[in-house]
Amino acid sequence: MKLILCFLLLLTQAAFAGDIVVLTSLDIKDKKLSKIERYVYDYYSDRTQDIKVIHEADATILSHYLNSPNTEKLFWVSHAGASRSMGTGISAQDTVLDIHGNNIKNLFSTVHPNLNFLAIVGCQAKGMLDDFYMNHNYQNNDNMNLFSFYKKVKLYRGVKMALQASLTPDRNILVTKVEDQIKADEVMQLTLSKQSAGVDSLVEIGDKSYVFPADKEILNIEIPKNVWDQFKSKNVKHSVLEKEIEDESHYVLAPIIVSSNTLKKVWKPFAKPNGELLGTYKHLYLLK
Amino acid sequence: MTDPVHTGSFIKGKMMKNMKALLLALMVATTLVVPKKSEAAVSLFTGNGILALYGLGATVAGPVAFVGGVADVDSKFSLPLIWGGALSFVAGIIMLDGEQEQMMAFETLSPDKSNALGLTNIQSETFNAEIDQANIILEEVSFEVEQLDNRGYEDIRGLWNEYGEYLSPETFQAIEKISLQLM
Repeated sequence: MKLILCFLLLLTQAAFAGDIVVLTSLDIKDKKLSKIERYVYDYYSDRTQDIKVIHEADATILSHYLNSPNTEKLFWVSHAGASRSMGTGISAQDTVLDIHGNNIKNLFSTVHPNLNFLAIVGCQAKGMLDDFYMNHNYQNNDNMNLFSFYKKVKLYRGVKMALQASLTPDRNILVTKVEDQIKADEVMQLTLSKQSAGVDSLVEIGDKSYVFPADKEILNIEIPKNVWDQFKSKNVKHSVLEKEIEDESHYVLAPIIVSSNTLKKVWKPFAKPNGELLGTYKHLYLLK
Repeated sequence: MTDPVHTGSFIKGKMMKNMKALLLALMVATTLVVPKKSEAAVSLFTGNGILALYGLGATVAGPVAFVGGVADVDSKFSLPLIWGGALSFVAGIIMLDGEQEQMMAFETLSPDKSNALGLTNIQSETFNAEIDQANIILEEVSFEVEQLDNRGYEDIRGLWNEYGEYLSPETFQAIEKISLQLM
């Protein structure tokens, strides 16, 4: 009986055919973008009905597809760069850029269990995915394949390599298969609430980022305890997702309240003595 | 006997062929050697972190920083920016490199790094404890530097003095030492 159940389980997993999502975040001509689409349809010519290609993708779109139960494979195509020291005590940060110039790297640490292939087609982003994996961020994603590059990469070559890797992951040295993840038996729960209407914003804590939509008043976050314990800092950063830099009136970042049922602590805003929050486009909430 | 008309056209044809080959070679060379970087949307704080720190470091270092006749931060960094722009423009290949858009941030200091900077224990401990606050201040000063019409050293120093008030004196002293490395 157990064997049959196992077989059925395997069968359902193997049979899951969701969307093949390709998100590009590059400010280049349509002609060049359509070349990417052509490659996708060539490599997945037998599954054209499952293909979704979205250009000029931003953090909100990425977050949606990373956490959608319908996404089977996701390819993110954008500029990226690995962290590098600029001197003692100062460095350039790991970066994956969206179309508006936001660093959306940490969005990749939270993905839906149905996702079975995740690729960042950008320079030197493989180390970032490896770090997320090593820090137990993919504990509900056994057998998911991670793909990116340790070196610099050209656009079309990178896209083709990623598509090929998704078809033959077992034979690709740039693919890492997620396995033997330690599952946390406890989850940290955080609740973020907005005091007033604002704009789409990005909430960062440790290695995790979340999009806080403008039209939502509350954002609930769950972080596995073994991931939480590895955060160097448990302060919360809240920043504007930039869209039109010229029009500053759009960037009113609403104050938020951060609380946790599991931690019974409160995050205090980093503010001036008169209560005004420090930072035009990014606010900081300190865990006291 | 060689037909002069045909010989002429033969030479002309050969020259044209060579010219085409040369042009093709040049095109290939410029394309391969200088890959194009697409015009990605630029982050608000891009590159300004280094300007902000350089401006601070220059005022800490004093007259030494002005040897070479550099009058302001913009002129110090203008040449590399022009070269970067020119190189990006020439090419045809699109590199997915985000180095120019990477955000600068302070990092926590180990005892070895703290010693290398000449910091006291209390300075490095306070800096490490306030690292997130220091990074918010760095971003804010970087943003303000972007807004300045004239990015002189003293203007940038003024911004640091204004925002540095929200940090412990020890953290600010550590930041000054870190900025000195850029001189």
